[in-house]
Amino acid sequence: MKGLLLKDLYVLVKQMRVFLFGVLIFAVIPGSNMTIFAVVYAAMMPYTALAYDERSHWDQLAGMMPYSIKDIVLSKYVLGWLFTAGAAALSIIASILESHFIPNAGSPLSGALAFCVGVITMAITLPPMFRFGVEKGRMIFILLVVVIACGSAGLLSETVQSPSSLAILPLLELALPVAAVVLSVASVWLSIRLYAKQHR
Amino acid sequence: MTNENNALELHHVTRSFGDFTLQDLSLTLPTGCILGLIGENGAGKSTAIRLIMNNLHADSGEISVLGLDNQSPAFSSLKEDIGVVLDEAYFPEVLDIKQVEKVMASTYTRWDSALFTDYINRFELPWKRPFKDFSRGMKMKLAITVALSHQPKLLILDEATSGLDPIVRDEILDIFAEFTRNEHHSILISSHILSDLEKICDYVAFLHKGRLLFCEEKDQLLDSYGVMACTSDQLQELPEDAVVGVERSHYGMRVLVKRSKVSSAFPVEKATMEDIILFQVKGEKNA
Amino acid sequence: MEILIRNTSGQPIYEQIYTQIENQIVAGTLQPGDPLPSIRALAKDLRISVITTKRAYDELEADGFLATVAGKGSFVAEKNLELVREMHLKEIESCLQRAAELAAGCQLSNAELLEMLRILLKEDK
Repeated sequence: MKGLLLKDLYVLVKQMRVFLFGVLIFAVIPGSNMTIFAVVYAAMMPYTALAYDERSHWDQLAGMMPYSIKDIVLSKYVLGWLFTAGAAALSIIASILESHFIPNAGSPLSGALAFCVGVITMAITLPPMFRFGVEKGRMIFILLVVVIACGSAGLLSETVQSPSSLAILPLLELALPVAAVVLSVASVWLSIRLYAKQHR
Repeated sequence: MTNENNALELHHVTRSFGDFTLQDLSLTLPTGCILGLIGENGAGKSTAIRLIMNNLHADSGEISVLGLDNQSPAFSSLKEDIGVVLDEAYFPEVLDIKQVEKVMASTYTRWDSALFTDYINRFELPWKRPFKDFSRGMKMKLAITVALSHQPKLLILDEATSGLDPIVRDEILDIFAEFTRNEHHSILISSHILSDLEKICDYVAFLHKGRLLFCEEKDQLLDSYGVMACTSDQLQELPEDAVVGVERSHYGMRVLVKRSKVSSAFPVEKATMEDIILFQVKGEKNA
Repeated sequence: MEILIRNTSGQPIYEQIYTQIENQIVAGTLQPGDPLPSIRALAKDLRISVITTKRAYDELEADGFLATVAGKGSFVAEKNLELVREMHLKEIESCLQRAAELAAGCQLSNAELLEMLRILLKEDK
């Protein structure tokens, strides 16, 4: 899998320079809404990687190499997890540093929860991509991302900042990570089956 | 059932698509040999290759590569021993050679960096230019370099020489011939350029509209046929079963004959691969 | 060792190799014990199929001209003069057979054919 990850990293770092810079900016801007956007946009990296793969017909070559379908599918997830973890880590560090100067800069907690949201976003949006390909899956993808991003941004800033909804917080702290893991496992399993059907 | 001495075995492989079917294909490539798969575009050559590499499932039939059934779970790792060059190289466009090397070195366990560097320099390919700026010839040279650098036992080449100028083609065919100096190395090469296959193959298989018309030893094939230029009167003198195909023109005719059935009194010339194929596909038999 | 493959003759390639190696052995250009190139090396150098060279070598071995030692390669066999004579006798027989066929084909009588042979033999002397 290392080779596949390396390939995607090379391509993305070269082609998505501006976009990634934007993610960086979002990550360090204070406020938990920004964190969400940073992380969810980072979660779009697998989708972009798939788009570039499609353009160069990479799946034909990948099929000839000693990679299993599991490797090929899982590498896209790992790619996404790395980027979202990176964005989340950045915003956690930023929020810790900034909270010395700015109140309500966001907490490390929101960074961690945002990471879960990013992972969940991937879990939901990747299977259609593996099934329908980049062109057809694009609409579904954008819709889902927008819904998830806005929805959770609103929810998260409400919950973290307003004291009255503190009751919900422990629930979220538990629910989100669990959902992230469960949905990810299901998503990977599903994507592998869909990709296999599509490409054989 | 699988013979360990064969690099490739296909038994009654069939695969249908909407408007095309690869039918009942059975082929054997003995270890240490080069098998040329000839066929016009759309005859099924690329389909056969995808089936062999398990990129496509067969409707029926069995395929074994280097002694292993290609449906076995270990087949993925066997691809370490198979070097593939496809019609289009399919490397991501924005990568340069250095990056391609890093990716491939992480993919194959037996990657030979020194060998890779050797070939790149020999082919005079630029290390730092993005792949999309390469000419067709350069793309194929890179693909071939990658295929050879992980020390495969079997090379599968799908139209690896089409679109290349004759000098480059010859250079590349030499490299393929060199590869099989080692008796454990085998090659399956598909092409519609008959002269290329005639140069290096030990066996030739002809695919036409999804069916295998023949698979024979190349030299035996070339030795057993001959071409004669003659008039229609002379044509009458030839035994019925000697004539395989006839090409008529305003000025006379060319006939493809089986040498064994024609007495040596007739002036029979050497037939090329192209003659044999074209006459079989186009030529009408004289009644 | 010189081997030339000619495309112009109707002779199959494996036969050309066989004949040229045989001739060199009989003539003494190749001595008993001399190593011969491997089947593969010969094939690649002459740009012909490995199967063809193998066939030529197999026939040379069957006819006693060369011997293969496992792991070492092929070598010119000890010259067996008796064998060579026998081979040449076989060849004469087949040439004469051919002459007879051709003669029948153009309706030459036995007497006429024998006369031709006598003349040729006298010329040789």
